[in-house]
Amino acid sequence: MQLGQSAVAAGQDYVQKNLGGLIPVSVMKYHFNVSNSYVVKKIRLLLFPWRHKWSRRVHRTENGQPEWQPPRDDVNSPDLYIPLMALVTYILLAALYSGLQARFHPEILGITASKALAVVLLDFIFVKLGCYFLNIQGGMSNQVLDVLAYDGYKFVGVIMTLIAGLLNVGRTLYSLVFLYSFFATAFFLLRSLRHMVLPDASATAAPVNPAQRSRRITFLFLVAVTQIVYMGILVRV
Amino acid sequence: MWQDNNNVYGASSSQNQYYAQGRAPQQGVPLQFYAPSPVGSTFYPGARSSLDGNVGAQGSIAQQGAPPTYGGNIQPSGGWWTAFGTGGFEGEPPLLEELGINFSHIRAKSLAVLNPLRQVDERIMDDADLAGPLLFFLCFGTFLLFSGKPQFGYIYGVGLLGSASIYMLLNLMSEKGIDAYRVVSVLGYCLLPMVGVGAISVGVTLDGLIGYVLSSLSIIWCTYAASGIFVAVLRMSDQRFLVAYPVGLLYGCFALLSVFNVGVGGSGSAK
Repeated sequence: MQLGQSAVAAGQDYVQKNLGGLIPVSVMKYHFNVSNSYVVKKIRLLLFPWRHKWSRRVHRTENGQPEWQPPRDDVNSPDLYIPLMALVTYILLAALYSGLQARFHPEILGITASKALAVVLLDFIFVKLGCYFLNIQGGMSNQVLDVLAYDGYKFVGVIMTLIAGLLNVGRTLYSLVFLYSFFATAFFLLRSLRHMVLPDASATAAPVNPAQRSRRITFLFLVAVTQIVYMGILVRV
Repeated sequence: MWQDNNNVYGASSSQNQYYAQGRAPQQGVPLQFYAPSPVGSTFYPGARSSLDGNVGAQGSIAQQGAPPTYGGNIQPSGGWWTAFGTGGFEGEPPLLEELGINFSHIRAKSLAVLNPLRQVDERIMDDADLAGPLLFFLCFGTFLLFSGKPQFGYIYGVGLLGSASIYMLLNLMSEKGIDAYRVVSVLGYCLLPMVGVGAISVGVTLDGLIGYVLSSLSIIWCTYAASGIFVAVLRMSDQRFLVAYPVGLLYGCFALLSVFNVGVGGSGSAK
C-alpha cells in the first residue's frame, strides 16, 4: 500500500511537470468557483431571461489588472459547473428514456455522450471561426472556456424539453416547451455574447466601425438561430 | 496531526509505520517494533483475536516470537524456495494484516457512514482503505450477475470514470484539495445501500414501480452520506447541494445499470 502510494505520487509529479501547462488548472478553478445561490439564480435566468440587467462586474486584482468577478459574486459571469452537470444529466436522461421504452443498453451512455460532445464542439468551432474571421479580440477573460460555458448552457433547455417528454404531456405542449426553451436559450446567448462580440466604448478593445458592427450583429443572430439546429439534434434521444 | 488521533480510525497510520520500517535495509539489527510504540498495541484488537486466538496485550505476542525477527524484519532462514512451502518465514505477519484488510474496521466504517442521523466527523475518512470499497463493488457486480445482468465491465467503467470525474470536480471546486484514494474510498463506502438494492433485485425484478421507488431512495441515501463526508472533509462553504448533484448522478448511473435489463433490440442490432 505504501509502495502504491509513493508510485502514484511519483506519477502525479511527472504528469504535473510535463502536462501541467496544457490544462490550466487555476483558470478552470475560477470557472468552478460557484455557490448554491449562484446556481439557482443562473438556472432561473436561463429559463426566463427576458427581464434582466446584463452587465458583468469588474474588479481589479492585486497587480492592478482588471478582471471579471468570479461566478460566486456575479450572476452574469459564465461558469463551467452548470454546463458540465447539464451535459451529464442529459446523458443520463437519455439513458433513462431508453430504459423506460425497454430498449436500454449501456452503450447508449457512450453514444449519447459522443453526440453531445460533437454538438458542443461544432458550436464552439463555429463561434471561434466567426470570431477569427471578424477579428474579435480576446479581452479580459479566457475566451475558450467562456465560449465552452456558453455553449453548454443550451443543455438546460434540452433537459427541460426532455422532462416534458418524459411526463407525456402530448405533442402540442411538447413542441411548445421545445420552442420556448429554444427562444430562451437564444435570447440568453444573444445578450451574453453581445459583450464579447460588440465591446462597449469604454472597453480596452479597438473601436468598431459601422460596417464591421453590422457584420458582427449578423454573426450574433446566426449563432443564436443555429441553436435550434443543435437543440433539435440533441432532443432526439 | 491526525496521526495522533488513535481511535478506531487511526489504524492506517500505524500500519504505514509498519511497512515503512519493514522495508528498511535489514542489517540484522533488531527493530524494536512493538516495544516503544503503544500505538501498535491497541490497533486491530478484533483482527488479532480472530486470527491468532490471542486476546491479550500485543506486547506479549511480540516477545513470544524471536524479538529480532518479528514485526517486519523478515529474514528468510532457508533459501528462496521456502516461499513456496507451507512453513513460511519466521515472524511473517498474518496475510490479512499484510494486505491491509481489516474486517471489523470495514464494518465499523460502513455502519458509521450509513447512519444518516449522525454528525460527520472530519477525520472519518483519513485512512483511505480500498479494501471495503472493492468488496462492495464486487458484491454489487455479483448480485447483478445473479439477477441476470452480467455487467462487470460497465460497472468498472462507470466506477472508474465517475470517480475520476468527481476527483477532478472536487479539486476544482474546493480550496483545499483531496487525493484520489480518499475519493474512491468515500464513494465506495457510500455505495452500500445500492448493494442492498442489488441484493433485492435477485429476488424481485426492479423494472416496475416499487423498483423505481427503491432505487430512488437508495440513490438519495447514498448521495446524502457521500456529500456530507465530502463537504466536511473539504470544508466547503455553501456548496453541499453542488457536491451532492454530481455524486447523485454517479449513483444514478449505477441504479440505471441495476434496474434496467438490456433491451432485446440492443443498440442497433436487428430485432
